[in-house]
Amino acid sequence: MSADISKAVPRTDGRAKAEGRARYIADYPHDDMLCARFYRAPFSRGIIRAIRLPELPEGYHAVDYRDVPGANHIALIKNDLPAFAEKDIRYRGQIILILAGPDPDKVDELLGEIELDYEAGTPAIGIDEGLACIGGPIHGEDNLYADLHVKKGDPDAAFSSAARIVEGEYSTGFQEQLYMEPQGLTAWTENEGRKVVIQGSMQCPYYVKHSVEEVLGEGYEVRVIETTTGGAFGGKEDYPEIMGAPLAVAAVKIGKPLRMIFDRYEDLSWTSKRHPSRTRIRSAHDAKGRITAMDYDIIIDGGAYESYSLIVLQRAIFTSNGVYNFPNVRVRGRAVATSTVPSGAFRGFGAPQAIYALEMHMEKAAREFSADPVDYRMPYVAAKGDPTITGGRIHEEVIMDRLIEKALEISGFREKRERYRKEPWKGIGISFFNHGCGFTGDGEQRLIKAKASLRKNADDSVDILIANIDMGQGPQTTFLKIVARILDLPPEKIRYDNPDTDKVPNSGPTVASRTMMIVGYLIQKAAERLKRDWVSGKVQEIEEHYSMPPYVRWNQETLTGDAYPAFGWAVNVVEVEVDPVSWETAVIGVWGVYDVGVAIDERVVAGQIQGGMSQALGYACLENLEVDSDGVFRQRTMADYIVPTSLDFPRTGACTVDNPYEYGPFGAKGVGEIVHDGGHAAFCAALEQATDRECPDVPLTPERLLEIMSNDD
Amino acid sequence: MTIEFLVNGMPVLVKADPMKRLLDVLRENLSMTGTKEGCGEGECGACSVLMDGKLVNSCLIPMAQVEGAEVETIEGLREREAGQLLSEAFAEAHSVQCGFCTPGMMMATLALLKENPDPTEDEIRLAISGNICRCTGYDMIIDGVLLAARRARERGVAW
Amino acid sequence: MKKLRPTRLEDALSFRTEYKALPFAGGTDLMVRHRGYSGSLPKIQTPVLFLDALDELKTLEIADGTLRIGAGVSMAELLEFSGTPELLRRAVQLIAAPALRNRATLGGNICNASPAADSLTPLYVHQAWVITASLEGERSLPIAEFLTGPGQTALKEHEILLRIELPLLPEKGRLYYRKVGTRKANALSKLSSAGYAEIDTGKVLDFRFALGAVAPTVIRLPEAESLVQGAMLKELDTGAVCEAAEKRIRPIDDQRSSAVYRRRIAVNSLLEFLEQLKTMVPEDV
Repeated sequence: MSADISKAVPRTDGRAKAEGRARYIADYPHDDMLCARFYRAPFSRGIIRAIRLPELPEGYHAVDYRDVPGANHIALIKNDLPAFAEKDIRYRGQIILILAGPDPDKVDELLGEIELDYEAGTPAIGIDEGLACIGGPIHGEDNLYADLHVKKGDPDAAFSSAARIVEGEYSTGFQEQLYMEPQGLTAWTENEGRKVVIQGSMQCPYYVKHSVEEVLGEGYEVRVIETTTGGAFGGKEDYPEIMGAPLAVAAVKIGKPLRMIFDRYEDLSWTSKRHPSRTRIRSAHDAKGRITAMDYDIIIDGGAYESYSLIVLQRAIFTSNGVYNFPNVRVRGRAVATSTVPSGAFRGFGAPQAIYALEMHMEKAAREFSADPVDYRMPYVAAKGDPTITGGRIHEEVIMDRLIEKALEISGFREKRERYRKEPWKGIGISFFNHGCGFTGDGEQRLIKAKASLRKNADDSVDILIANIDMGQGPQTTFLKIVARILDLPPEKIRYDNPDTDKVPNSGPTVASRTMMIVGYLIQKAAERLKRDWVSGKVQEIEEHYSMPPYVRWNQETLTGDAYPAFGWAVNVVEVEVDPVSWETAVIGVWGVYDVGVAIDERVVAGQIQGGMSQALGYACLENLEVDSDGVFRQRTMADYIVPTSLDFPRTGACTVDNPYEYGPFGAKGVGEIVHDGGHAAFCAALEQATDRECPDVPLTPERLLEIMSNDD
Repeated sequence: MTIEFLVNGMPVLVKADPMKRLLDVLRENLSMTGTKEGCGEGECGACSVLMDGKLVNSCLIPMAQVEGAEVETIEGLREREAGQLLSEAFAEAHSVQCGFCTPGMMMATLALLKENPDPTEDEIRLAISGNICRCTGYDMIIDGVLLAARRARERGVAW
Repeated sequence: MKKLRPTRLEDALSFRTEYKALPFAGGTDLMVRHRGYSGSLPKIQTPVLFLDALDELKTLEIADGTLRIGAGVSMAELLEFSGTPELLRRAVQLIAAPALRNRATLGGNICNASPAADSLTPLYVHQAWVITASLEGERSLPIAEFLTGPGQTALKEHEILLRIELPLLPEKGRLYYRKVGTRKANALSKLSSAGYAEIDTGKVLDFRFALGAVAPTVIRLPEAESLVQGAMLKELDTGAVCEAAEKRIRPIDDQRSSAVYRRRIAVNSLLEFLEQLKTMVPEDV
């Protein structure tokens, strides 16, 4: 049965999007809407002393913290980010007020006339300055948003009896999601100003609803409507709240509809990016080179407000041992405050950073002991029943051996690895990794409590009612397949509209590789129940509520137990050739083999693999994103922030191996993030073979490679 | 300034500042929102249209230079048999994920196939090298173009 | 703000003279440089002179061993023209992307005067001439005199660029071109290099090498070139040539690349060309 469901069908939304008929938020008519723009802090740190606005013509309005009826914060975990800054400014670009009016050029002109007096503080830029609390602590006493520890076994004993210790330091940079559709929302009021409607590009309608409810306080009803979202990759997980909450306040104050569509320059400059990381790893080895312990210390740069840093860090430390079962482990993770744009969510959410360090260290250890990179890793690859670093168990069948075999076969890894030992400037590298599907620990049970429904109409058509969105990853195609298959209906009789919180239950956010595995499973169960109880001509509604699989154990206080109910598993291989004249690295082969349970549509999954790999290779060698001494990004246009074009990388050889998961629809697990988590490590491993040097940072640009090659001179 | 030009074969008269971008006239004055703005700096190709038969970034064309020109947009392409064939191929090949780059890709594909109805993969890559896609990694877009090109040849459909 | 889109050159020159209007050809640089927030008009504060309707700027022909290119000829048109010399073709192929090449003009690339402009290194190797026009007539300048600094040219306020003239190089010469971009397509140059050598029985008769994005303008390397001119390939001291070249290289750090990188790869590319010449089989020379 599973092979059947995997067979590809055309994308349900394909023709409308290709023909330009699908409407994104900027495409909606807006003659009656005022243009709304943010006024942002022109300095990096300090206190606002005074703001002087120009005289506002009739019809032009300014909105700031004093207009907030409820709580002046964005509801992100610790609620430390204000919706509108009051006096305290922690990063350049922080939102201070909204200006709105009928003529966008006039609004732009007025923004330029705002004057601000401030007392400047000293910004802390980068992990070291954050740790040193340059300019005084930004957060708490020590600038640490979180300091987490995990221990397994007895690492101290293993280190003290080690025959050899291998040490390494690995780092990853900022990365911008670069969704092709810039951020945008519209907002208006109904019911004499008592109901606020937010519409636009977003991953999490109910998150936006929650943030707007908090900022408006009692007495307001909130409705949130997602419009077709042109890419997100995590970048539209927090930012629609950061934009939507102040916009809602402005809509209430002004009493007219508002439209805020970001220019790409504003989007690149001020929206949240991937957390940079720096990881130090020490591994203890016996006389034969076997790993007896690992000490893993990761620091991520959280920027000026905490936002998602705690949970990104959690995922990073829970992914720190990847596919391996090491006997003794110590992991420490810290998220540090700095004076830059608060870091946010980006596909992988801490896993790409953690996997990079781990896999580069495995390469280093293999080199130290003159071992083949595959053979060196094999003894540690986990199996069903093995303990995880949080003291849980791997509950599923682990088929890494089959993934590895397939990856070696389709890439020709072994033969090339051997040949390239003698061929200069060419290399092939491999990475092993996994990704926990769904929210960490008991988050699904304790926080999300997903609800999903199917409604059968009188005409026997069926509506899928969930809050999850299609941002390109395909649920509007795959969920239709699931329901069509179970109810034996043609797809034309099934609807899955862009979610509207007035019409759909809260099935949780479109994040964490949970949409298919968690919500798809609820829809599968609902469809099965509907099939059983089907009465033609009658309106029926079936609602399913999430319940944690019975085998999952988790203690959120101690962070122990099963951090994830299931994992995706993967092997990536990348082949490179270096040009020693320019130090540019050409990727000449790419392969990715994945266990995602079962592919609900093999072309949707392959498309995710290819797209995720493209982003991973961009992260590995193109997407350089630096901050200057004011904490402002230096690459803020699409000319300067370099993402891959069609000429940059060859086709990705994408494939999956079935390993059905009991609690996923038709056996499916999560896909969206694992496809991005490991390509960068395979790239650097290949580069290390090609150059015979350590390449421990991404992006490994030609400039960086020149530095590395020059170090011996 | 009044500018007279053809859009998808229809004569159009627009009153606009001569520096106003063709992209904005299409989207705002003519309510034709199929052409998208991804960057406003000619780097992403989401705003691609054909002007006098050539692929251009409409975010970089001031209206003064559009006087007398023939502009073809996605709204025009989709009404033609070639456009239907192409969008069907794109949907089948999964050349579309989030879809925001797709109208631009369709126009770049049209520009290619008009000149070269039987392109190689390398020629397709070159033809779409100014259109950025963040979702697909381009592999399935190439598949969609190859599929469309083959079908058009088999069915005798003109680009 | 006045705008004119003339079809006759004399009207263009009058308008330019009277209003010191901004010459606007393909607009691919100007529309970016002056862009405002999405949806707003470009912020151009001067009158604008649109050049795209002037036939006089569309010359594209070879006469007396010289390629004459009108300033309004687009990059795409240059590539379509069979007479475009190989060195220039290699450079223009790698400029930007197809849609931009349909609009961007050679004249615009020159007048924008970015030290990283891709079309310039071949023009420096060919020792091209730039012809400007005004109501007073035409003026010719060697390209190296026309480009005076980053974003600066010798174009006077009442002139427009009319034509570029490229003396063709002997067919049997050896060519070299390398662009190091930020990626493989639609990329700004981090550095570019173009070279030409004429060899006869192992002796270098002519040697030219130009570098882009490593100095305030594109540069030739007179000291390095003179060490190679007249030398026997077998006896060439490539180390000395590179050392002489380094004196001319003054790159900067910016958001695209570093000075250290640009300097090193510039020298590497010169060395690569010299090595290619040295390893030519005797039959080739």
